[in-house]
Amino acid sequence: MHVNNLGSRRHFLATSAMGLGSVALACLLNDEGLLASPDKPELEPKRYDLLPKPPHYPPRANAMISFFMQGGPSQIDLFDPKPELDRLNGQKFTGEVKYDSAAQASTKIMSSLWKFKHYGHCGMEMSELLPHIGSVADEICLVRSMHTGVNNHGSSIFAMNTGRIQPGRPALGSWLTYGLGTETQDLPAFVVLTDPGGVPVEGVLNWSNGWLPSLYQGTVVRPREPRILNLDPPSYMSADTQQRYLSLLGSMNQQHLERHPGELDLEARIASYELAAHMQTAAKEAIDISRESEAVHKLYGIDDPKTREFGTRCLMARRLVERGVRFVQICTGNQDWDHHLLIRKKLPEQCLRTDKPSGALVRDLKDRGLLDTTLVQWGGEMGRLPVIQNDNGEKAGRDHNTYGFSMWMAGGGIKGGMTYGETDEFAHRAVKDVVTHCDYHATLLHLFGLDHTQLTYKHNGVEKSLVDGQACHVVKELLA
Amino acid sequence: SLILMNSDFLLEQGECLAQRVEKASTDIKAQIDLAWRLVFSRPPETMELEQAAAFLHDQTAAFKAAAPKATAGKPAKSPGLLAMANLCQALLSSNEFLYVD
Repeated sequence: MHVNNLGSRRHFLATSAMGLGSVALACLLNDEGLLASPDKPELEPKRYDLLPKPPHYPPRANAMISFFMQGGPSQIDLFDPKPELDRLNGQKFTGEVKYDSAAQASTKIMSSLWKFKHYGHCGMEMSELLPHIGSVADEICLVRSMHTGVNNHGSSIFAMNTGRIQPGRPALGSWLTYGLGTETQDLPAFVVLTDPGGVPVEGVLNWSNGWLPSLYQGTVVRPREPRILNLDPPSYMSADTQQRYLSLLGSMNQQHLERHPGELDLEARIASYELAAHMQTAAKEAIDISRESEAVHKLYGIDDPKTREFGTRCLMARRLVERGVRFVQICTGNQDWDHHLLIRKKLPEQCLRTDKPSGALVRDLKDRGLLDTTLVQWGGEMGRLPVIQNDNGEKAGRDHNTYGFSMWMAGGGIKGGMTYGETDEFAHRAVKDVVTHCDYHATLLHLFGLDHTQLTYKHNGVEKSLVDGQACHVVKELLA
Repeated sequence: SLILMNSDFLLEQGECLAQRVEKASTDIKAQIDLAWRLVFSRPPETMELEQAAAFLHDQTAAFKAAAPKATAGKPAKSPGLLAMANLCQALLSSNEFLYVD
């Protein structure tokens, strides 16, 4: 057997090409007094994992399900009734408006196209299009004064989902799992249930770990079978032979890591194998809704073709949270709520497919005693304008509005049966008790027992956080 | 990771590589050495060689005990080849192969 003791080509290049050059450079810089003084050394290489971690103070919530209604559901037609708009319907809007699509813009006021109803003991006013969400009004806190102030989808999505309007930052689920780990090591900590209508605008950035360790990236579950690809090992592999295979691979990777200490991606990949092995059985069980009773299927509308798809994913979300997953995001399709056009036809379609399952999830969590500790959030990255876009009969729609829009939350320490904040008389701009995306984030971290100024990660020498030094406060009025 | 563990593509690549090294020599240690050179462009260290040989021994015995049957006209794969395919797949799925230094 031929043995080459001179080392590999790779080793030769690694040690010679950069090696001597960098030593020489360091010597020169040192001689010239230009070499920066070393940063305070880390005593131990940092280790990251997904084991449960205690928060800063006792939490109210330990899991979150976020309904990401991407596109911008119309607050005017769904959540924020304005008698003044009804009175001025069809007249000229004299206030200042920021349009996204100026070419089709008009200044003609269009009041809500649907009636509002009082729901629950609290009498919360919401659209007739949302009877099932209305049926859990007493659990809901409806915020009518959301504000991101950046008028296009991508930037506003980044604001709501990552804390700032720029891309490249960790998603909410990544921050929560970085801060708290997760309650089960058999399932991913951060799961995204995508829609058959495509992924939200900005795609994979919505569940990116940004500059947090790769361990905290979201795991996507597909909207159709097989929901998780490659979950089954080949037929000739038994539990025993697979275990031997994985321990060989694990030990090779461990020896490799010892030669490359502190490389977070390598550690994440090792952890990812451990998770994958557990997932083969645990994930299959977790998303198998056939194990649920007929009554539960009915509750979520799984017996009805109109609500089956969305209902199935809502029920999966409950099963995942029940099994210890920290953060689940349920997406609607790409721009599903972006009703520039044909709002009369398209908004009711979206409501019809999502209303019943959304309400069912809150009710089901409540019935199982999970709502107390599970924060549910429902909303998009923007709302809509009180004036018509595409003023052409049935084609009418509404343009973007990030200056005043609505979202709701329930459970996890949120006060039920209350509405908070107000827009002006046109449901256009948030004017009273404004809640910015940063206020929302500080509040949700607070519910998890995390202080938004303390949950930080050092990136490029700077301590970064979800709110990232932007002015914000915990909205105490929303807390139960 | 599920792709690297269970996808048809990776299983196939592992098997192809196993067939190639088995064809090159009948000596298990020479086969391991060749697999290492093909995948990592370096020979295995003594400890790695021993670890791989022990793995092949145990895994072959386990596959033999389970005796996979021929299905739908296809001949059953030999336990030795399956074990070597496992080893090759592990090399192709290892961090040393996946990440550039």
